[in-house]
Amino acid sequence: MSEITEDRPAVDEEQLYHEAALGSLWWGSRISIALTITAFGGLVFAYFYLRSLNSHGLWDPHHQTASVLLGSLILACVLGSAIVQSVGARRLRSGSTIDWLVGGFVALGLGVLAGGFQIWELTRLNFFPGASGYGGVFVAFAPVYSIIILLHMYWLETLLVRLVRNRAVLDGDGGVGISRQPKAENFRANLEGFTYAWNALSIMSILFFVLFYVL
Amino acid sequence: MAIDYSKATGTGSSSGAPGGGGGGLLRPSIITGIIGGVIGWLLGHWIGNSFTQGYQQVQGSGSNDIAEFMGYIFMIIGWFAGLGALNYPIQKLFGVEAEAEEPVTEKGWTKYFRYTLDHKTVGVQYLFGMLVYFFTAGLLALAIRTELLSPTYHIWSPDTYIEIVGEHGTMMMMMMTSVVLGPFGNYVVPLMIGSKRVAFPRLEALSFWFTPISYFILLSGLWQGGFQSGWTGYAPLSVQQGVGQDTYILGFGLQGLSMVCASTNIVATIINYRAPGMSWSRLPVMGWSMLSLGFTMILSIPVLIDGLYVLALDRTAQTSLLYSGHGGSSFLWENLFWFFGHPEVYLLAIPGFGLVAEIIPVFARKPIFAYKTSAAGFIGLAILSFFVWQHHLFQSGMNPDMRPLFMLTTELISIPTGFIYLVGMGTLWRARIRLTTPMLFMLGVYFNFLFGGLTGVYVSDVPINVTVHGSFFVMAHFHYTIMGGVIFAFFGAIYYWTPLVTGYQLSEKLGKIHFWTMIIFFNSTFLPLFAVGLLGMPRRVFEYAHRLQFLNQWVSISAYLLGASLLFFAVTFVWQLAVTRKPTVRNPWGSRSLEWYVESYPPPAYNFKRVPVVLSWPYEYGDPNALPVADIVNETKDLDPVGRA
Repeated sequence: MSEITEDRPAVDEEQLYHEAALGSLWWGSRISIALTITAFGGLVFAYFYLRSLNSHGLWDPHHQTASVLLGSLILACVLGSAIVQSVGARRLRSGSTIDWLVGGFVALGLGVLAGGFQIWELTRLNFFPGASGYGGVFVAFAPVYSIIILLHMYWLETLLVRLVRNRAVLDGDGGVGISRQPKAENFRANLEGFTYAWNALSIMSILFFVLFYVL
Repeated sequence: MAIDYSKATGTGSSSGAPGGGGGGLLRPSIITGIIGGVIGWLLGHWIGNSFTQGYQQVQGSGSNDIAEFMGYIFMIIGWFAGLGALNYPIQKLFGVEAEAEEPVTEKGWTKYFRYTLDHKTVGVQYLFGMLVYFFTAGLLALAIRTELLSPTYHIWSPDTYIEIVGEHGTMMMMMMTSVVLGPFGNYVVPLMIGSKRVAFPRLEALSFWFTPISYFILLSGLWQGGFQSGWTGYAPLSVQQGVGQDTYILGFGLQGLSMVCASTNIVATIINYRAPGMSWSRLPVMGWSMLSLGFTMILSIPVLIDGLYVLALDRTAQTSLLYSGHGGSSFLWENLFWFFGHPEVYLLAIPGFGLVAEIIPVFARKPIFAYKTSAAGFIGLAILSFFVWQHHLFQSGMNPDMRPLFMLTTELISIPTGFIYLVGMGTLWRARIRLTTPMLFMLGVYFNFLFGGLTGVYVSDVPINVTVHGSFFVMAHFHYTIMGGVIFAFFGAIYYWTPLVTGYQLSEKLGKIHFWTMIIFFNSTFLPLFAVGLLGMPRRVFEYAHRLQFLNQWVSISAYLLGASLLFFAVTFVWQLAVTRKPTVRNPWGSRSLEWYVESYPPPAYNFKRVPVVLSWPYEYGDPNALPVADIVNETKDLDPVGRA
């Protein structure tokens, strides 16, 4: 057996665990998307289930919906944030760190605004929560939506502030979007995970808009 | 090249210490967590009461659910703040990297009362946490059986009785979801796959620290009127209940969050942190079971949390999602709950089967039979578990045309279950079986699950389901699958891995006394309940027909004896770890699995001196020409259990 030990391949532990951390970030972000989909999935099921049952004709008897204007603003902010951030992230990968920083802060502002609008909308509903099936589902949906938006904005903020505070380290070797340094690769993996998660939520937001404001 | 763990580098690669610095009592620990929780509860309750002053319907109700929820939510925040769990997320908000404190190398018993990032410490925390859960819920079971000693003479009032039933059921179901993944998934799986760490140590730690607070909240329901809806929490009863129902919502919800955190970590760890050479075809079967479990939890538990959230809104925000009179439907709860609830049954069974399939080859001294089939069985169980939930609603007034479909899907699930059963039987076939204590418990799982599994096929059939629905027959069925399956596997795993985890060997003689008393009294308790159910006794009632008194008394006395067997385990387990402390020999069971080839028992910080390279399959028992499982085997085999040459 001794020859096995002697001939064993050299394992670069630092590289091994660096790659494992990158893989974990990939899986962590995809799992977060799965969790978001299943969490909203329950509420979307409630929407269709109660709508199809229409118990006592009380799904939406007076056709009262939440403010379409605010709903449109929220959707616009979320989509705008996702687009600006995605473009910034693409620019980062081509070497322009400052473009992502500007885009990231704009996306952060839009995202926080969307979360804020959603909370504000809850305070000025034109229906009582128990007035209809629609009312109940909307009151259930809105806090979850705003919390998930704000959690994504927390994620984006930590990325932005991390780059701002560690730019000298992260931005060396041609820029954080290009550098082969482990910290830069880790940052990019984290950013890529965020981009996927935030874009996924923005696509779901279109569905929510259709369900709660159009149909 | 050694890894420099001294600096954290952000999410996914950080090993920075949790909590802040400082020493003494103010260092983040369970004490500061409790202080934070008490302050949080007082603050939240006060805010909740102030916030709802103008709400007539709440003030006039005699119970303020909003204040109750606010109190608990602030208590949870205070608890985690006190533990130091929030320091890192707040530091990240300001771009401050975590301090270098070598958290994984902390020594002494006090580390078990802190928010720690060492997966082995978390595993031990989970083990004792789950035992506390199990024994508390077990005492509640004895309270139920005491009441049922007589058909008409009562120990408890009807309300108290049903509260105890609800607490017992909910606590057991909450505990069972974590009982294998928590202690053994967290402790052993990273070692089995040759990793020095886990993917998300903070999520792992968080998952454990959710459990004490959920335990306390759930238990507090007993002195707040309890929840008479039982563990299934059916609406509209659960909407109409007093504040005790809030403890069910929060306790169950927190346990759900705990499992989401634990699953995310275990999935990412198994996929990414396997040692070089640990290909998918060499992954231990327990790894496959944990992976299937993790994915099933990730896809089912958010739906439970949705259901609990909807219930909470109906109780606080005055929505009417579960009340058809205002456009909702109580069936919404049933669907959301059982979409989680039936996969949950497999969340309990899968890790139990994983333990059995992992341990049996060690004592059969031959390779596991049909390894790939066992992995396929776990994956099949996980997938099919999402397509069976409507069988819980056969009696609810569902569309009768849907019944055969869900009967079929439920029967189909017996196929992957059969795979796993046959893997065990094939492994035992013509084996040189060593009847050690862990092996006896694993064989006990097969014996018990035969009753639980076969009766499961019957109760999935519509005609029988309609006949035995809500009776003790169904109760006996699921106790055979869950307690007879996963709890027997859990105890077997304790006996199996205690030498590794503690460095002490448990007595075989005492272990066998525990096993034989437990399996005899377990069967003596639950087998007659099939008859009780068929004779017409429904669940959750505290008065019954006189003709069933003998059977019920038999069951109650058997339950006391089963309790005595478990008490015997608790006493001897603590006694052997605290007093007699018989040192173990290295690799006492002769296992080929990688966790036994660490330098010392218990394993040192970061598990391995260097990353092992896996050379062969871990189940090559009985083959003298088999390669060692990894290149570190020769380096550690001559060491004594504390790591000396």
